[in-house]
This record gives sequence, structure tokens and C-alpha cells, in this order.
Amino acid sequence: MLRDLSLRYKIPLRGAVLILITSFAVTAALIFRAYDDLKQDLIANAQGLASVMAHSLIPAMLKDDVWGSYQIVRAPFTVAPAEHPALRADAILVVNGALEVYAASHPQAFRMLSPVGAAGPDFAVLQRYLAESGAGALRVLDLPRTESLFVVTPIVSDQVPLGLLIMSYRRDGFTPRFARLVGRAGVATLVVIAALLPLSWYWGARLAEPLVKLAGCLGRIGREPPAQLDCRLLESRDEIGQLGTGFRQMLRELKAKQDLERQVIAAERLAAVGRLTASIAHEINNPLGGMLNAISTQRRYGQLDALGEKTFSLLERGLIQVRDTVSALLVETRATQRHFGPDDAEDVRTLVTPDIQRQHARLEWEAEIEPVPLPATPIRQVLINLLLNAAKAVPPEGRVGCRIRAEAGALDLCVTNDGEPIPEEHMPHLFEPFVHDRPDGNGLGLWVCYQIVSQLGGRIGATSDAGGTRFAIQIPLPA
Amino acid sequence: MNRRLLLKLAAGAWLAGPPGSVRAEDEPVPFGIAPVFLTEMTSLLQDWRTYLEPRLGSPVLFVQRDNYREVTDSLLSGRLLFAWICGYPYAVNRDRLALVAVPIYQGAPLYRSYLIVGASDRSTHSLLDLKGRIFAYTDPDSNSGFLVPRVDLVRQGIDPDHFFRRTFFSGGHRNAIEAVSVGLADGAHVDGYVWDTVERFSPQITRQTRVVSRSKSYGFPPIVAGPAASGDLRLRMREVLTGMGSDPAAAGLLDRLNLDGFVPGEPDAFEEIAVMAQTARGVPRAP
Repeated sequence: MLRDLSLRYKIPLRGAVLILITSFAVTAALIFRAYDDLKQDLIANAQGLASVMAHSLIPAMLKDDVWGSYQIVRAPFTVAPAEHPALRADAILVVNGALEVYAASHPQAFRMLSPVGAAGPDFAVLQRYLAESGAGALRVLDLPRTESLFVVTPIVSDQVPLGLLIMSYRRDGFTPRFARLVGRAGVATLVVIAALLPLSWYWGARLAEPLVKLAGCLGRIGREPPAQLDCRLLESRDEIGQLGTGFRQMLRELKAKQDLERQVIAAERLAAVGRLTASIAHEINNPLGGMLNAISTQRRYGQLDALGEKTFSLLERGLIQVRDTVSALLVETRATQRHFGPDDAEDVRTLVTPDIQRQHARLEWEAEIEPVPLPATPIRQVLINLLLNAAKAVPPEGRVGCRIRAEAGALDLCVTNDGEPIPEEHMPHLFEPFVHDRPDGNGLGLWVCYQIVSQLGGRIGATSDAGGTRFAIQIPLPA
Repeated sequence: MNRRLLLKLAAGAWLAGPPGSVRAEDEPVPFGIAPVFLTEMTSLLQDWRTYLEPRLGSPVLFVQRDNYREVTDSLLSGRLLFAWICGYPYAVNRDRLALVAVPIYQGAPLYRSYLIVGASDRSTHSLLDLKGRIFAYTDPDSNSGFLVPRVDLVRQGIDPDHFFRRTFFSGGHRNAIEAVSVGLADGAHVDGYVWDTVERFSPQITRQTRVVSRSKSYGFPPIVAGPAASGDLRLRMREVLTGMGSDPAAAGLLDRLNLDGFVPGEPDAFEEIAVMAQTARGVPRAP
């Protein structure tokens, strides 16, 4: 139960408990000390009185002077109350060797010759104790299960014990003075608690807050993509700050890892599709070549009637369409071609400009390159494909951008348009064959681009949002 | 008069004035006060002395003692010239002590002894009910506080020394009243005059006690002269004391003493006490 409680409450609660324990311990120590002081005062007071009284009782007891003994033990009660009533004896009595009352300050309570224990439960305890312990020196008895402290003084004349002088002090006589002390300690404790508890609560909450937040963020991992886990953690260099920094680092790495995994999966899928397409294309191309040759031979040398001519012509056109489609799928770049240079770029510009103008869009062209050692034809094809796509996507009065740049050992191509973004669900399949969201395309344009870029050892990526769509290509220049 | 006192008095006379007489005129007259009646009444004694001295023509020194015996002994030995003592020692020593004056209380030179118990004790109706209890005597030489209860018991065939569980001497009637009032003793026999006077001046003390019975009347404790007092001084003392009842100047003093005045008194008035002393003689005195 308590174990499951949030740190937000657990830390302040523990702080509060510590403060309470400390306060109570200090208060208890003070109270104990006060009680002890009070007892010492009383003992000092009582001892003086007891020894004087025991001394003056000797002649009275030797003469068996009950009245005189009574007068002596009564004397402290006939004067005005002392400054500290707590230090005033509750009763003073003289008992004989048999622990029978000889004289007492309050004869009604302590009948002469009756056992001292008859005066009440406290005195019964005292009598049992005295009967067991026998006479001794002046003693202060703080007996358990009694309401009183007893100061017991032997009355001895010439080494002959005459009796005992017993002074009883009620513990609750201390109460007013003790209560004052306890009250004062209690008030001080309350003040301390009142001051410290909110502080402890605040500190505890501050300490717990980042942990609680972190725990919340951690709980969201797996359920939400790392990119959306926006955890604002306190910046500091203490352990919690380190935890936050570590957490953010972990999030970044997690995100990078997920991106990488996605890319790897996409690349592998495309590669597999590419391999499959290539092998199918080859399988188709071989018989296809034979079939086209056969039709060509037949048409050139064979005797064909009108129906045959029409049939073979139909077959030939169909087979040629199959061949074109297959060859479009089978993208191959040949290293022997000439290098891509500024002229090629200019050609591409010239070729696509009419399409863009047809859309009343603007072409922002930026091409500052020297010839690069990369085959010109496929790169031209990539550029044309991307720009024609852009021309189709760009809205009227829109903008199509093309930037061609060679730097850091790579050719950078970037084609942008500010048209409607590509739907989110299309993005993972953008470079697969026969994927198109427009009815007029064959769905192979981006596939071809991807194949060419891949074959040239480069990378192609696409981003699309409300600001537009952007295709970026990087192809490393051969060393 | 013993030899030592003679020497002392002679020395005192020599120091005080010209020799020729045993004591000089301006030497204080030692006047003993047994703790019978007036304990802790220092200011009263001072005022009484102030009253007595000009009328007596001689300084007076009131001497208080702890017990009756000391006063009686001092009187008999001449250390005291006069004393206010109980009727019991006077009756016993009538042959050596001269009656000077007897106080008049409630119109007669008589008083009674009261048996008192604690106010909460409703079951005691006579001394016999205090059997096995704690009893406070005032003084072994007191009539009302010692002789009366003991003779009462003896006349009923009871041994007073084994009748009570415990007895003690309080040394004065007022103390005995207090002992009963605080519960130190279960009962006591006290001078009725003292009880009445305490009741008049300190009713909070007597309120804690209950008078069970009053004895018959006895001669009031008298003021007596010892053998050392000259006849002339005795007469003067008697005149001054017996004159107090009619002297307006003494009215306040008598009121505080709770007395009406003094009369010369009759030694026969103490005969009853003498008989009781005879009765008690066979009985051990100490409790």
C-alpha cells in the first residue's frame, strides 16, 4: 500500500515523519530533563529539611513526646506555602521500628500506631519496600506503582535507631510546574513543525517531481513514438539531472535506431523487389526477344494474308509493350556512358520547363556544377522523373524548385514543390513499383529513380508536409 | 530556699542595688505561668505585666515553663515567688504554698473538666467508650487534664494505664484540644475554661471537637505564693489582683483572659482535688 504510493507523497511524508520524530524526541528529552531537574530540586530541598527534622525529632522521641514530635513534623505545614508548592511535602510522618505511625503531620490520614501501609496504596508499597530493605541512610524512593516520591530518613540516637522520618511528595504536585514546562516544549515543537512541515513538503515535492515526470515519460515509451515523447526535465547536474540527460540521450538513440530500422527495412524490401523484378524481367525478356524475332521473321519472309498480318501486328505491338514495361522495370546504368555536366542540367531544364509553365507554376533553378564523373543519362532520367512529378503535383501559381550541387565528394540533387503533401500512408511505399496516386502515371517513375540512385551507390529520401514535398538525392562521386 | 538560689539572689541584689535585704525593691518579681491556660499569649502577658508593675510597685517577670512540675518545683524552691498553677499541685502542696487569689470564671472561682472527642466521632458518650483508643493527657500535674479522667476510671475499678491503647502528654490544654481536633488523639480531658476561651477566640479549632461530658466543678487553678515571697508582697499581690475586677483599666485585660476578676479564695475549695489525688496515689502516674 505505502510501497505503491507516489514519491510525490512518499518523500514529503517521510520528511514529515522525520520531523515529527525529531520534534518528539527533543521534546521528550526536554521533558525528561525537566522532570529530573524538578526531582533534584525536590530532593535537595527535602534532604535539608529531613536531616534537620530527624535531628530535632531525636529528643522528642527519646522522651516519648508524641505532641512534640507532632509539632515538629507539622511545622512545615503551619507556615505559608513555599514559593514552589510542588516542592512542599504532601505528608511528613515518623514511624517506629515496626513501621507503625508514631506521629504524622496529618493524624487523620495516619492514625497513630496503625501500620504506615494503612494510609493508602502508595504507603502500602512503601511499607513493603521498607520491610524488605530495612533501615539505611537517607534515601529518596521513587517506587514503581506509586503516586508519590518518598524521602526516608532514619532517626538515630547514638547509633540506636528510633524510627524513620518519611516525607511523601505527590508526583502530581509537580504537575502544574511540569505542565508548564511540557506546554512550553509543546508550543516550541508545534512552531518547529509548523515551520518545517511545509518546507519539507515543498522540498519533497520538488525532489519527487522530476522523478514522477520521468516515470511518466518512461511509461509512455513503447506506446508512443519516441519523437513525440516530449519530456521537459529539470536541467541540473545532480543525480536527477543526470537521469534526465540520460533519458533524453536514450530517447534520441531510440529514435535514431527506429529510423535506421525503418530505413533498413525499406531498403531491404526495395532491394528484394528490385531483385525479383530484375529476375522476372530477365525471364520475360529472353522468350520475349525470341517471340519478337519470330514475328519479325514471319512478317518479313512469311506469306501472310490480311488477317495474319493484322494478328501478327497486334502480337508484335503487345509484345513490344511488354518489352517496354519490362525494360522500364529493369533499370540498368552503364558505366561507359559520358559524364553528367552543366549541359545536361540545362537540357533537363529545357525539357521540363513547358510542363511547369503549363501549370502556371514557377521553376526555381539552381545548378552550379562542373562535370562530375557520373553517367549522364540515368541522372538526367532521375531529374526529369522527379521534376515531371513535381510539375504534376504543383498547384497553379505554385513553385517547383531544383537544386543541383556537387560538394563534399557527392552530387546533391534536390527537387521540391509546394503542392499538397503526399498522404502519410503512402510514404513508406513511395519507391515501390506500380505505386501511384495519380491516374495518368504508370507508377514506375520513383521506382526507376530509386533503382538508378541505388545502383550508383547513392541515397534517395523524401519528406512531405504542409510546406511542400522534397526529394533529396545524394550520390557519392567515384574516387 | 536552696543555697544556690540564695547565692544567685544575693549576687543579683548586690548587682541591682545596695545590700541589706534579700532582694531589692526594683528586682523583678518572678511570676510563673504554668502552661495550663495561656500558651502563646505573649502580648497578653506583656500587657498584664504593664498593669501589675505600677500597682505592685515592683517589676514583674512572667516566667513560662514547659510543664507544671517545673513551675511547682521552682515555686517550692524559691526561684519563683508567685505562680499561676493548677489546683492539683496546689492541693498536694497546700502546706507550703499560700493561696493569693483565685480567678472568677462565669461568676464563681470554679471550673469543670470537659471530655472532648473529634467532631466526627458521634459514638462516644462517655470516657468508657474510648477504651483501646488514643488519649491525650495534658500534663501529669494537671487536675482537669490528667487527674480527673484517671480518678474517674479508678473509681470505676479500671486500671487507667491499660485502658487506652496509647496515651501521651500534650503539655497544655490548648495542645490537647488541637491534638483531638487534628485527629492525633481520639479524646482528651481538658480544662473547660480553656476550651470555652479557645472557642471564644479560635472557634475554628474547637469546631473540630465535640464536648462529650462536663465534670462537676473544681476550684479554679489558683495564683499562689511560694515560700520565698514575703508576706507583704503576697498581700500587695492579692490586693492588686482582687482589685482588677472593679478596675476599669483592667477590663480589657480580663476580657482577653476571659475572666471576671479575682477573689482571695478558700483553700478548702481544693479539698475535692486533694481527695482525688489521694485516690490516684496508688496508681502509677506515667502513661
